[in-house]
Amino acid sequence: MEGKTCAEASRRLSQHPTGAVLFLLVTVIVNIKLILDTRRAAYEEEEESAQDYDDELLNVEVPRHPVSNKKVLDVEVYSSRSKVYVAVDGTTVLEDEAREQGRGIHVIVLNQATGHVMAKRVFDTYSPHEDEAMVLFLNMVARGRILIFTIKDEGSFHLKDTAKNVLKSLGSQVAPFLSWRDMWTFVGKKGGEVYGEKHAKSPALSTWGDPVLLKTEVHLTSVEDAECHWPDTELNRRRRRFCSKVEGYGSVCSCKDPTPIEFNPDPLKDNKVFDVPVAVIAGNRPNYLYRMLRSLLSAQGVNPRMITVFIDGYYEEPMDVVELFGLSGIQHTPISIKNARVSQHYKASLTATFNLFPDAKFAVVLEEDLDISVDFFSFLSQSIYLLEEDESLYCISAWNDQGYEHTAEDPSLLYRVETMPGLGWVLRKSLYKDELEPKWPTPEKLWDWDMWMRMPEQRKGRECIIPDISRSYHFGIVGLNMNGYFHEAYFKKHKFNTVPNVQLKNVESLRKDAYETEIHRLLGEAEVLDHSKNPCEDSFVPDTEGKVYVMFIKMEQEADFTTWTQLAKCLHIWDLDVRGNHKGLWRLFRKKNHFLVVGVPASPYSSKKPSSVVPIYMEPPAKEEGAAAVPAVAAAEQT
Amino acid sequence: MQKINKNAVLALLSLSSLLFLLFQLAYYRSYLAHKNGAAFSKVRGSQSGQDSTRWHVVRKFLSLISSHNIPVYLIDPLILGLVDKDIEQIRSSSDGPSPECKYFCVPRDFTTFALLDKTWKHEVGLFRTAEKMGFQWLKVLNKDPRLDGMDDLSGTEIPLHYIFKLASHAIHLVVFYERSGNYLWHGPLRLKQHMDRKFVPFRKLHFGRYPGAYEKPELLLVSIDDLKIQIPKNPSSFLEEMTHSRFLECRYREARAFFQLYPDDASVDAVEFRKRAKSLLHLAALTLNNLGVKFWLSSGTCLGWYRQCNVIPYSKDVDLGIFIRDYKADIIPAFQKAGLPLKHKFGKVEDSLELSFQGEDDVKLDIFFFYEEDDHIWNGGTQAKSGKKFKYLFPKFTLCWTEFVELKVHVPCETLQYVEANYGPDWKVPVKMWDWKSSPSNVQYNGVWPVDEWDDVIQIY
Repeated sequence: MEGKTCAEASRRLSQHPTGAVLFLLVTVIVNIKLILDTRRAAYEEEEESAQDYDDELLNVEVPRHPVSNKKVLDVEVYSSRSKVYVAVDGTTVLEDEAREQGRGIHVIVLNQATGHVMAKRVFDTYSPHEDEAMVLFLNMVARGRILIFTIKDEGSFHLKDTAKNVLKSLGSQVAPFLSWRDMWTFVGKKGGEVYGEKHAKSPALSTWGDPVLLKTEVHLTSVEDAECHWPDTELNRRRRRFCSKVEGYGSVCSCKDPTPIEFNPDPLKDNKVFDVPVAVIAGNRPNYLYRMLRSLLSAQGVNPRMITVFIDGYYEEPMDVVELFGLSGIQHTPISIKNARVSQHYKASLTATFNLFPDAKFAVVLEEDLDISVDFFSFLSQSIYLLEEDESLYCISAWNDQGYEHTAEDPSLLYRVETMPGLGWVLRKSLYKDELEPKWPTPEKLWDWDMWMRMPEQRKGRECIIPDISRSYHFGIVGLNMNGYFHEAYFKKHKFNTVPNVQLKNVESLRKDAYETEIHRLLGEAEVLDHSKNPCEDSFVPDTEGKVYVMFIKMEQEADFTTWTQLAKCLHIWDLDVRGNHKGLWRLFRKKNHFLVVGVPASPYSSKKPSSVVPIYMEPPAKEEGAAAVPAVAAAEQT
Repeated sequence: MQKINKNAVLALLSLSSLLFLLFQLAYYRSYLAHKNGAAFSKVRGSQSGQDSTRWHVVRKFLSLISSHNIPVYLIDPLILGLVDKDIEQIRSSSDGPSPECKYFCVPRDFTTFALLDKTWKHEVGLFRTAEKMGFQWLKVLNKDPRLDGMDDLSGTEIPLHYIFKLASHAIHLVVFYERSGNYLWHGPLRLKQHMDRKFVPFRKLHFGRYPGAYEKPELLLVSIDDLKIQIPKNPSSFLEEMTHSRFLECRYREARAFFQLYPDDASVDAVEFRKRAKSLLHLAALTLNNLGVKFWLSSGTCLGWYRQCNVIPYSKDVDLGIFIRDYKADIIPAFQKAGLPLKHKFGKVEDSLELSFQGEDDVKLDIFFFYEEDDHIWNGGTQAKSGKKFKYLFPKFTLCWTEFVELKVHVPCETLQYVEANYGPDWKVPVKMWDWKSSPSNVQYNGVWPVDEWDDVIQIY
């Protein structure tokens, strides 16, 4: 070694002190340099050794902003006729100046420790019942959260005393006296102090109060104070993450007695759908998704590992819900608009589902606004083999379009129908991969995916199997094609099975040929109703139970649904288009009797009509009433 | 006085020099040790101790994963290589104690295991148990390639690799995912910024430099060195597979950009052609795989994969390449048996061989045979009416796996060079009028077949 020889030489040189000292110094310098060199070489080598394995996107992960230690938040809240905004520490967290929307009371919930927005809602308290929704929401918010209120346009017309009292209990002085077109802002802590309130009275009925701007400061608390002290388990870690981010989910974030997020329903014996992937199609309705996933995870035979939630857009809150339940979620960057966007989202989701589960022969397709029946998987487990074996089947669906409270009776009964109901259904992979995916409507075609699937070019005469009593329940009120009125009229009174472990009756008879035999048997046994009576009247069907009745309606050719539509309307069932038919035959229940409707002469079952019976013909109403509005109004009357 | 002082100073300096010397020595040692991985000393001094450490770590790991019901199998090339030599004996041997530690004690830095993602439920608690047992661990996540496609999807990242380190040995656990096309895929190992680059000598890992594609292996439960363990039933074929397992993902982002510029043809004809081309490709792959003939996507089919991740709807045929050394005489009868009659045969095995089979509904399957030279690879073409020969030159390439229309197939790893050789620098621009004799940028005139050979080298059915 170099150092060693140097040292020996230096000893020999001790007789010549000055030279020796110099030499020693040189040795020292050489030594130091050597050390530095070795060190650098070592460092370089290590760097190099891992280089191949470095992520190419090294600089993508920008470290997050360090959590600011600031103890005080500056909050600005603005209320006026045409614009509201809320800014927290200079960042706008709400801004709404769009015309003709966003009317009412806007509510923002902030985390009292971090200042993050946990929920944003607007309640149109100009309209009825919205104040009840607001009360419900405010009651769900955890104590200690910071609440910010501001009115846009009008927020008092249907703001009832209950709601006013809740606002008062939050510390608002003005709320009880809030009146027509007043402007109002309020910031306070739930169950705690008030940070500020401003109000501008409307001087006259025809004018609005002056805009108000409230500027105030909010003192933040420590993170520990803002969180519940649940035992440290994997589940509670998920819960904690969720509850510190979002608000408005009620007891799931309750400190004392949180509702479970794991359900462990009974497993199904001989579960034929345990390995079938479940695709949940979702948008940005996290509260719906929450309700939907709860019911799905509570269904017997559910396999959480097979569930994937597909979110249409980069929305955070639905993803938070998915993670709360420990499921896997996928976000889809939206392309296209409205219906076409939903349709593209469906396609992307189905393609991804079969990619993620390449072994799967089927996929269950669900939507975020469905409740799932406790025996949903049991129903599928008993019937799915038909989809595999019977080429004449298009799908199995959990939804009966005509299965209302007053028209569905038998949880063990299945039908074959020519329409595709959707709302919880099973898709065969080969159908998707070989037929649907390659020609799925492109984004510029603004088609509904379900309408497209119902078109004869796609359906090719194949049928779907449905239960008499639906295994899903459509609870969505706010949606693309949905509003409260429509929902009341067509969905609210839908029958939904709540009985576990229903043993399905005679599944074999659902095969193509067997079903014809079954129908002929039924028609043979059916009693022909009195065709001189009005079929809309209750008395049309005798007061019996468990009998089979048949009626004949006029149906000139396969696509003539004139009488059927009128009959559906007066029976208060789905009448917006034709659903639930099988070769000109409809099956439903009236007064607990099986009730068959045959279209004559288009239906092949017309031969069962006694020659004396004249098929009933019902005329459509005159058009001048405004054709589009008629069905919705008529159907709404039932509720 | 002065002399004493001088001596004292000298002594002091000598001492400090000596100290430096010792320090330097110590530093150098530690550097050497570090270079080989602090815990992976190559020093053979305590061989027996080191050897049994490896065995112990493997045993501990196996007990860790079995306590969490995680089914793993051994894919370590070093050990499987040794096992393969004694495979008959291992298969037949019963559970009796083995006299010596023959496999798991051999010197190495890692032992590699595979885990099938779908056979595994949750990792909850696994790492806590691992830590309690003394393991240090590292998890490598990345995005899920199964979500790549024409749609812009993003999901939670999936685990691709785990490394468990204990004492002087580490276990590399590679996660395999099932993908469309009935094969297994493992991801590349890429470290994120915050990760410890010195956790293990990553360069020495056997898996992870590239993503890889494998057949689903049949497994065998055996007892090796007193450890019960699953191994691929046929270790040698697994090891063979491993040497050319590199996988390329389709370039979906570029394909999306392509379709932005040139919107896809969604006509009924295009949909129908793609469907037929897909089923023809599936049939061809099945036939050739059964014969054990290695093939790859060539010409227009390769361009379709590379440029748009799909069949080019106006391409009219499916093109495959095969190295002439892999040629088998049974190829023609096998295709005929599969329902694809021979349409024409040009050239001969020694020169410019090209086969064409008639698929259903007018879709043709072209198989070009490739001839390797020192610095390039070429295939031939023949004009039937004139007997003219053409030669298409390609730079040398190797084969990689990819997924195309739900099929695991080969493509040239150096795809860009391959496509550019064939279609020139403007390959990104769709060309509908294509003349195989003049359009390719790598075509060379190659003389004329002698007339007396025509009957043999130009066969049309």
